Amino acid sequence: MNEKGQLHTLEGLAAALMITMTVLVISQSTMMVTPQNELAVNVHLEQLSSDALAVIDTADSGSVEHDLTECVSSWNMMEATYPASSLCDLDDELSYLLPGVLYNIELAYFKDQNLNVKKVIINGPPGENSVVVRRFVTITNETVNDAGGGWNLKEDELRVVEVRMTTWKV
Amino acid sequence: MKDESGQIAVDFLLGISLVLIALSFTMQFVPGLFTSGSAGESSLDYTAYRTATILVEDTGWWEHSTGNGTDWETHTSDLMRIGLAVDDEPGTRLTNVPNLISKDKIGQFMLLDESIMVEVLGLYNNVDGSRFAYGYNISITKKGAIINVNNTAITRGTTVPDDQEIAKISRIVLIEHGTTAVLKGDSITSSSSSKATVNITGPFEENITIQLQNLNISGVGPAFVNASLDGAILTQPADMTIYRLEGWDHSPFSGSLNGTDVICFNIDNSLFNMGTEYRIDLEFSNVTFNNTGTSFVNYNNISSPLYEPAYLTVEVWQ
Amino acid sequence: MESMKDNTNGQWIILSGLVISLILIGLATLANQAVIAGYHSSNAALEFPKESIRELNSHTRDNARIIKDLTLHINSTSNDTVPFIYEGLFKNYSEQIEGLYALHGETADLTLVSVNSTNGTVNTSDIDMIFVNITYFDGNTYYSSRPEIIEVNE
Repeated sequence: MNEKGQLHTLEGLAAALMITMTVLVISQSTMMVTPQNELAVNVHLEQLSSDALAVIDTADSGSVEHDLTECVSSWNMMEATYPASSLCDLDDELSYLLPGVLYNIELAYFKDQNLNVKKVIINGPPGENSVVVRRFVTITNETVNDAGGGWNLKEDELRVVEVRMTTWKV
Repeated sequence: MKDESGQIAVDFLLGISLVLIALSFTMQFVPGLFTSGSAGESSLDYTAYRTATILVEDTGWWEHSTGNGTDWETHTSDLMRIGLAVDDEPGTRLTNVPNLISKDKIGQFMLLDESIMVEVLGLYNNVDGSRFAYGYNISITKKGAIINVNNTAITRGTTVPDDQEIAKISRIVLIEHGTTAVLKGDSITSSSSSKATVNITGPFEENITIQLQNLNISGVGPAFVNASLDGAILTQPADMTIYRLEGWDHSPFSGSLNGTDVICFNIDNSLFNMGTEYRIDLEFSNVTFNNTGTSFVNYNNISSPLYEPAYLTVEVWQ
Repeated sequence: MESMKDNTNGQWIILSGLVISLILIGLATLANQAVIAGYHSSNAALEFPKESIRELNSHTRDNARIIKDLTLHINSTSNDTVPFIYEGLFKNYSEQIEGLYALHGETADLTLVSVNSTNGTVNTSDIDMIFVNITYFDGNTYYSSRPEIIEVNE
């Protein structure tokens, strides 16, 4: 019996094993996740979200029923409880502009030097890779009265409100 | 079995084939692992992002030895940058509004020479000193359909191939779409307590929209009766369409209304061919107009551009 | 089995396996670096505060007009002068916006430089030009406009 015949087989097996193990180790290492496209997706989502707020803010009353200032002014000061929203107009306008995207909206403002952050639209807990965009509006007693909101501002008062939107893809 | 030399080839064959199988398995895996990190595609992403940003947020710029400004649509031979954002005062700084798209700029954008377009927007890649133009498609869509401005479908570039990696960025924009006049409550002038009246001086390139808000309801079952142009009744949908504005949506309007409705009358521009003053009467029942008199508000004095939301999509591929 | 130990002429197969493995590791390292580079440049697009800066700027411009209207409204029922009311309202506005920016770790600074009128009578309704210093810093990006000239006459 010639045993020489098994020799190269073993070496071939060893080489094959080595290459396979290398590939496995490389593919298991965390650095090989591909953040490239995921980040591009995030940039895209952030851009779309901030566009949506910008568009609602810049549109005048001929183009949209209520612009961002009017929507915020019309708030009745009640925080939203899931799944109801307390700023329905803004909710409708946003969902028209952002199909397939979920969002939560908070209003942040200073009242008597104290920071208030109130949830007004809740669509659930933010998913993975959510992004936050914000836009500022200034409301006065006049805009609140026109929109019928409950802000109760003084005649000579102006209040800056941050509209903070967290968006994520479903 | 005295001659054993033939067996050597068999074990060698087995060994080498094992290596080859492992190698081909590796090769199959490896390209899949590395593609998304490759430099070519990421630069596509940036090209798409940059192109969309410039078009939506910038007004563009023209410049020659004696002048410059943002109204490049009237100086296309001295074009430096392409941008579509509206600028009310082309001479002064920082009067542009991002996301608002100008109709005139769109018009010129569609007429631009292909090579200038690729050059100015940087839709090419430099490989070893030679230039390769990217494939691209720039379109403005609404509800999935490409929109028309001045009877031209707003799309540039070629059809998007479906067998290639494509970098795609969409932006939400407001696109100019005719003009509108907003009349609220007591600012509505009227020829009688049930007729809102507006004077209009033609001609117009696009349909006009009269928007009524905060109507003063004075009875049960308030409703719209009819609209007339210099006494002649206008018919739907040939002469005009009526809709309620709900958010961004145009909901159908049946005739009956309530006080919070925003009612829009979109009237065909061909009715105002002459450069003379026309008079529109909008008659309602159970709605009272308080501002009754003989002088009426003029549409041309209070109208502003009407914008509607749309998506500007830039797609780029190798 | 003795003859197997002596036969060494198959080692090149193992050696080639080793070489291929090393090449793979090298390739993986290179690709990883490309991914990291991509991460940073893509992140730069995500993190460059273009919206924050523009928002600060355009919101200040809008507010200069809102404050002007409010000032004239207050002035009609008050003994205070127009510039005095304007300064008070602007200070109030800049405190609010600076606070809201500070919440995100961004430093915004808005300072009213002067309230101007082309015909020199600032005390009446014809104020038309507001000078404001705007600065913004988020730890990486610094933006400054001094002064930002805002026309409030429309």
